[in-house]
Amino acid sequence: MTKHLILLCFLSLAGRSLIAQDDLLAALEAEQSEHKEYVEATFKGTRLINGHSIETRKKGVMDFIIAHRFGTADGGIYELFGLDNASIRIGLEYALTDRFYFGLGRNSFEKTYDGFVKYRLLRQSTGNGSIPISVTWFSSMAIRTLKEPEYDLNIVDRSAYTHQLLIASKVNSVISLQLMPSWVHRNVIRPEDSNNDVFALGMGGRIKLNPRVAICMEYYHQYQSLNDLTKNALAIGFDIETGGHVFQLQFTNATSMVPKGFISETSNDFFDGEIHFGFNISRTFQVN
Amino acid sequence: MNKLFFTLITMLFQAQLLIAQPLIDRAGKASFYSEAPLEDIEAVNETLLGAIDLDKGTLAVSMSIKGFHFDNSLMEEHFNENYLESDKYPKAQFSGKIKDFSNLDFSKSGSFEVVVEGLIEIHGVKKTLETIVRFERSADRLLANTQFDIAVDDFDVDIPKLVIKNIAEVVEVKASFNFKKD
Repeated sequence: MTKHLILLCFLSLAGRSLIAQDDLLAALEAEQSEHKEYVEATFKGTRLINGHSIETRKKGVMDFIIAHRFGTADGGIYELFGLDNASIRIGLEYALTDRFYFGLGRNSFEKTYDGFVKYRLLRQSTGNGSIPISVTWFSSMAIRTLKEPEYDLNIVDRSAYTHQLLIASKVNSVISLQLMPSWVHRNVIRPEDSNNDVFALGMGGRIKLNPRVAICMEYYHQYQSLNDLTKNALAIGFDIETGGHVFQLQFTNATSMVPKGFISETSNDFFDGEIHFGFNISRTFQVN
Repeated sequence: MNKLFFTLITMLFQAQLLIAQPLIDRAGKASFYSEAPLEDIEAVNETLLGAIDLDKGTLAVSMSIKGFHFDNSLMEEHFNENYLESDKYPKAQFSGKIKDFSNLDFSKSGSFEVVVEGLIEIHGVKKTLETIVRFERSADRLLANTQFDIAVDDFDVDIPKLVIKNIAEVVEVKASFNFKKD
């Protein structure tokens, strides 16, 4: 019993001295419960390279995007490695909510108008009830308005649709990965084309080199092909962030900047030097 | 013997109860203001945890960096991603002591100013901080307010030259707490 008493006295003293150390900060830390927090900035921009990333802008943000793709580099010095030819896409996008994002654009390549909607179905989070991935649904419609007098086509005939499920995970602050199951549908195809529908699986990711610069990769593998000439689109790029701008530089074999185009109409061979240099510049405005 | 044992336990419990609990505010407010040639930036965090122990004259503050909100959402993202690196350093903290605490009387109503000195940790860097805290005491609450300047460079927060005209090198920080007495 005496032994117990001594032990008890000792314990109580130990308890007192712990409190006496008065780590108020430790007490506060214990208070801070593991509440749910969304993982931000899986990617720097709304585009991975050619295609979309899971990211949307926050509510009330307007994004003005100018994208350029120069000609292929294999033209040599005569074509100044492709700089003589450039196609441009001008786009204006707006976030109606933190989850719903839409935009319109026009690509000078085949004089294509496009519109898209994007909705964040799932957002990666940490803490209580955490989810390890983000999922964004993406749908785009593109209308080719290049004059083709040999065909008699109306606006519906000229339209193509792309639907994607963008699935991404910010593995850590340096590495983010994304998978993009995609479906491209055309209402009407030319005689030389063989498939109205093309299914593809895109994959990509980024590695942050420092807080403001990241290297990105993107590849779309097609399971059907529109015709015998198409190749899978590969792109390698850099994201550079400067205040309100996100500047993306890329090297890709895709010519089009519209989803149905780069996924299923890419005809250049990346490893044969048929590479386009290009860039995307994004400027955001907090509208309300 | 058993009786003694019980007496001892009872005494221990009483002793525990006598130790006053620190006052805690779970909705403290902090804001910082950056004034630079091209733009002024302000961010507010209203989920600070603050504690004060009126027996020992000690203070502690802990806050989540992600709790700071900006008018411009992209700015908020960059603040977390590029400047404060909140994935790596999710919290900012302060713990300190009230100077000359033994000569102060916190039981009287009214307002008074004290000097608090301690350690502040932001972006994984610890620095000593001395600031004046203004207390306002009423029957059921104790308000605390402070304001101090922080040099961004002291905390290894790197500002690229390109945006040097957008972000001030010294930012003004304000914090306030409302401790309720039970």
